[in-house]
Amino acid sequence: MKLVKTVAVAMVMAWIAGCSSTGGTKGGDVAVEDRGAAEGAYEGATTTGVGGYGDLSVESLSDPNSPLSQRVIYFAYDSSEVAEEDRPLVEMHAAFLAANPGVKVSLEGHADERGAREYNIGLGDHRAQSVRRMLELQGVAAEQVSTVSYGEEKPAVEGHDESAWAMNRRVELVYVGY
Amino acid sequence: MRQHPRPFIYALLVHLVLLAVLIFSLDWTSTVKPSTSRKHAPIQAVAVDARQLDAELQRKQQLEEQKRRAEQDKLKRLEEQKEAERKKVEEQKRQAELKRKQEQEAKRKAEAEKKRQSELALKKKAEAEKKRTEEEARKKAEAEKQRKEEEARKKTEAEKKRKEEEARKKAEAEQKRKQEEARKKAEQELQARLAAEQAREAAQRQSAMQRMVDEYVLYIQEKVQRSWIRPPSSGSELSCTVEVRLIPSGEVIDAQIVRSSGNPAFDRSVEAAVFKASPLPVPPDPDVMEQFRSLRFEFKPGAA
Amino acid sequence: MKKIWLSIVTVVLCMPGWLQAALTIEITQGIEGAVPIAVVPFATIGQPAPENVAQIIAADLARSGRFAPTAEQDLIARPSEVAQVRFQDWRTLGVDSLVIGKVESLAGGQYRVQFRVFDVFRARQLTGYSLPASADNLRHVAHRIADIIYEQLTGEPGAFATRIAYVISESRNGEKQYQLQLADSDGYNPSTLLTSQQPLMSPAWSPDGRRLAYVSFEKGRASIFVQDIGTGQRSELASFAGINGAPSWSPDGRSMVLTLSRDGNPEIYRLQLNDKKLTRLTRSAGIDTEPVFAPDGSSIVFTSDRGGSPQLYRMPVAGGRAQRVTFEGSYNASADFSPDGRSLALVHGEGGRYQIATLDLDTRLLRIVSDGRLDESPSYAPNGSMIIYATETGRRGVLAAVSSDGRFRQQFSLREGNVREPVWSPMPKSR
Repeated sequence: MKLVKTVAVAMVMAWIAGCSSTGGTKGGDVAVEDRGAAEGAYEGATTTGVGGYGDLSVESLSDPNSPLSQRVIYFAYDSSEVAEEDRPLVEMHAAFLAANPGVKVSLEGHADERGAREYNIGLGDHRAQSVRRMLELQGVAAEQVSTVSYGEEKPAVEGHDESAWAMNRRVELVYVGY
Repeated sequence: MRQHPRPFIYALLVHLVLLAVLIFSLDWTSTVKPSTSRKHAPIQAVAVDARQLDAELQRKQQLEEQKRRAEQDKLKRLEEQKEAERKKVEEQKRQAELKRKQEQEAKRKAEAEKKRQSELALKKKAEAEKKRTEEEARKKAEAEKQRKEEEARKKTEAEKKRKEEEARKKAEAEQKRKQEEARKKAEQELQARLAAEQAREAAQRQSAMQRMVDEYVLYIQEKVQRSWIRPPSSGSELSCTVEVRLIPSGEVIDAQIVRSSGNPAFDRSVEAAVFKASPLPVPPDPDVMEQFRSLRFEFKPGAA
Repeated sequence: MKKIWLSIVTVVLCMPGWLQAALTIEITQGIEGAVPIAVVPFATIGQPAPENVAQIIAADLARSGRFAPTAEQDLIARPSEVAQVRFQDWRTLGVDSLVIGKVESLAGGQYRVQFRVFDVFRARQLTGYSLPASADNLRHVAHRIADIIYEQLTGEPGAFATRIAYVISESRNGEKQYQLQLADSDGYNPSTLLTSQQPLMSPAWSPDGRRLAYVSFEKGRASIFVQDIGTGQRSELASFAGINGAPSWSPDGRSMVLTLSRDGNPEIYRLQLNDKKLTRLTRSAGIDTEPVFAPDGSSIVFTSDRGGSPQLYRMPVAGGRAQRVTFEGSYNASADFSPDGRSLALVHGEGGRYQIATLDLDTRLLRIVSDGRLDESPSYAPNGSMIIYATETGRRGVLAAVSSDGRFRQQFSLREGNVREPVWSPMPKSR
């Protein structure tokens, strides 16, 4: 048992060390805020911070250059699964929300115009729930997230071809009051 | 009841008394009384002593016994008398019978003797007669034989002549008959050939007519089917029969539903079909056309 | 003497036609098509009427797919009295039935409409009526006449004097506006029940034809309302967390089925209207929505993708095991029961196209009856003869109607804007 404990501690130490040394791949801003007491204080906190999410202050919500300005996640036809390449975006928003427990977000689910309207309401709902689950897994409190589905009723792009439809199969993160 | 015990008891008593009176006053016996018989004469009742009665009774019984015995003896004696009489009569009868039988026997014997004698005499006569007739017969037969031989000879000659004549005539007649037969046969054959040809013609005509009928039935079927707008909601179980009358031009002058489908829209569509298909294509041959004067259409979409 | 006998015999032998049974011919098929009918423009007596009654009647009869009214220019005569009718002429024209009539103007803006229907082959009248009308219900009277003619000639009740409800969305100054509207079954006489800046969806008629339930996003999310058509009064029926959608009435009007996601996933619920008691009916991880009652009230059909893609399922009204009813194609949704309960109209998706189809519940035969690319929201007429649905032409959403056997289709070009989600009213109770 002693051996396992030692190894575990060593691994954690290594991981922390690794974290502190990675550069910010997504971040742009230099100033970074501590991630929070939950992770505990650690040595070597640099301006690039945790995972390179950049500024997670509420002000960054109104910053068009902030990665948080990306608030739409797209979906494949008849699917409510978040694509691999969209996960980091969701995680970033999760990080932001977790860092700002007073901020609420509404996840608005949509579908393209094909097929039955009420079924598309259900699809939009499944998509919003998908994103919500991901946020909650990342530590976002349930009270911060609400979902609503508009089905095909509020397309982002009016059009009757795949390029329009692809843009309408989405979940939009709408920060309440921002 | 508890509040007024006394009046209650009084009332009860009164009722019981009344009830008792009622019960005892009623006659519980049957109201039907047995009626006395009116057949016997009124009986004179006399006071009697029982013992005297007994002795009287016994005396009576003894008297009766004596009477009875006397009667029985009388009867017995009468019976014996009868028996004796009967036996006497029987004996008499027997004797008479015996006598009669003896007499019969004597008669029979005498008759038998008589018969024998006469038979003998007859026999003798017959023998003499026989000899005589035999002689006569012999003579006759001889003469006859000669005569017959002569006759036979004549006959055979005549017969020969006749037969020759007959044969000749027969031959002649036969020839005539054969000629006649041949002629008749020829005539018959001719007629038969004619008839056969007629029959063949008739059959050909018949089948030609039938073909024409079939052909025009097809034309009519096609035209009516083309003209029938079938109601969409009609199931395949609906069917309707309509009888149609045509005039020689094929025009429909009347249509009557003889068996409705039960669905008025279906029936109406059937009527419309036959009217719209008018004039129907009809055969040009008037004989065949006759069969088309009255047509019966059975609309059975389910039968397809 | 001999000659007479001979001729008699000959005559007798030549009578086979009389003695034979009539030649019998079997007819086993006909053609599919609309029955030709002539609807003569009604004569005007007095002031001309504001509507062309004969035209409304002819358009109704044509839209049903069962009749082919003769074009007005091809009518050979314009009788308005039976004495003026020469049936031989109409027979030559090839029509089965003839409709003539008169519209007489009376005092006070009132009218009297008279009509007669004739069987052209038998040259006899089938029916005729005289109806009172006013200027603003003249169209309705014309529809009622079309119903009477339809019923007389087909044996089935007509559904022309009925109404439809639908949602229309328009863009005004870059802003979208949504309206819930009612109109006659031919799309005329629209009236607006509700206007909103937020989407409106899924209108549903109550069985007595007096109320409409619908989904409104006016509160920023979906809620179900029930509105009285006559008074305009409405009440909120369901506004739970999550989805509130696809309301549908039970045939006895005492309960509704709807879609809620209050338990985390879109499921079917039954709501009793008197005490608001809610019963959950489905429990699958998939999307369960669009529930509709069967006309006998014993079962419900709904859309579910529990099997991987949207298909139609049927379950008893009290809940229980759901049985799949669609097996053709990868997408089947939006079921509507025919009034006799024997068929469903639905949206069938195959090969990238979404079309309206009918499914016979006994024979399982699926028949596609529309030919658009993005057709949706089928709704049966209350006599089962037609299906109204939403389709698109060019860039707009429009309504179309098809006869239930798919033979005859017609689009309604109603008005500007995108028209969708039509629902046909029940039969008016006054009949």
